[in-house]
Amino acid sequence: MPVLPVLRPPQQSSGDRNKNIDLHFQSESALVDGLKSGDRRAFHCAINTFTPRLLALSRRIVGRDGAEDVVQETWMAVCRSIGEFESRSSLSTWLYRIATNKALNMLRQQSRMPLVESEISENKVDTGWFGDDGQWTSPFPDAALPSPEESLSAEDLQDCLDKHIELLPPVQRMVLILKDIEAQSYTEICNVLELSESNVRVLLHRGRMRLMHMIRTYQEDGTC
Amino acid sequence: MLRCVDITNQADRFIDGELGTVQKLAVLLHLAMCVKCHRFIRKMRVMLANLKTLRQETIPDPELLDRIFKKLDLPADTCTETCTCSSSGKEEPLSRADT
Repeated sequence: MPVLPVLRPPQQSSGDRNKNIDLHFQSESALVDGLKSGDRRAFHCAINTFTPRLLALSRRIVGRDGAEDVVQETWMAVCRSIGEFESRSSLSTWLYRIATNKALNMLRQQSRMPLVESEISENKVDTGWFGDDGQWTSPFPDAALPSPEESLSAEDLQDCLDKHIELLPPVQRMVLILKDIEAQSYTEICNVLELSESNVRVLLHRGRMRLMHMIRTYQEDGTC
Repeated sequence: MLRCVDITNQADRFIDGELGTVQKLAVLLHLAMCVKCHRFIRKMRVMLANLKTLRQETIPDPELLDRIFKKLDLPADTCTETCTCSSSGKEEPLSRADT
């Protein structure tokens, strides 16, 4: 059983509870201090604030079924290791790193093969777009894609992107989510996934090309 | 002279602004002459912009929060759902979308 820090009950009266919480955790350092000292209100605030993003990230990586377990394990790990957090990154980055690791572990347990090796050794994505001379044999249609602003209402495209992200091989999916959706740096992604930058770039390229292939089909006949 | 397949292979670094000057000029020269690759790069830019809009939150089931509080030995009434805390370093309450 992990040894959890002793959590201290709030010292303020319940009537002033929310007011005092606002006053206490207006900065990240105050929140981190609260977490490190085992302040229950700090844990409540952090859990209420960050769980929605952690849950969304986990769902994308491991699917709906395992996401809640990933989030629970993440908070257990935070409770165990908050004392080691040195504020070299933001608290949210640290939390997402833990959640990503937990999700990756879950994927590893579900897979018989080592995930990364099998995906990197896989052949290049064959799009069928080019001939032997390296020229387009089947160029993209000229139809316009919705701009990001328009696509906010174009739920079909978003659903289609979601569906195809889910179909990507696990590590390819994680790289694409972390880089293109969560806007993490290559350094951060390499650290979390314990991959070289060249491997991360290969996996990202393959993931993006698969999505481009999907978009092409979507544009040509409206199917997803 | 770059071929079209070379353009798609370098598309990530080109769009992310990571190509060196010479490589970038070679890509730009190709794009100026090849409408098919120009169209591909444009669509890829739009796709990447669309991916950014997928960054979102999932409202957790209250039971999940209860389970987490219980595992951490936190009484459920320590604070309410309206409890806010900031990790932005600014004075205003934390916006979850900014995290």
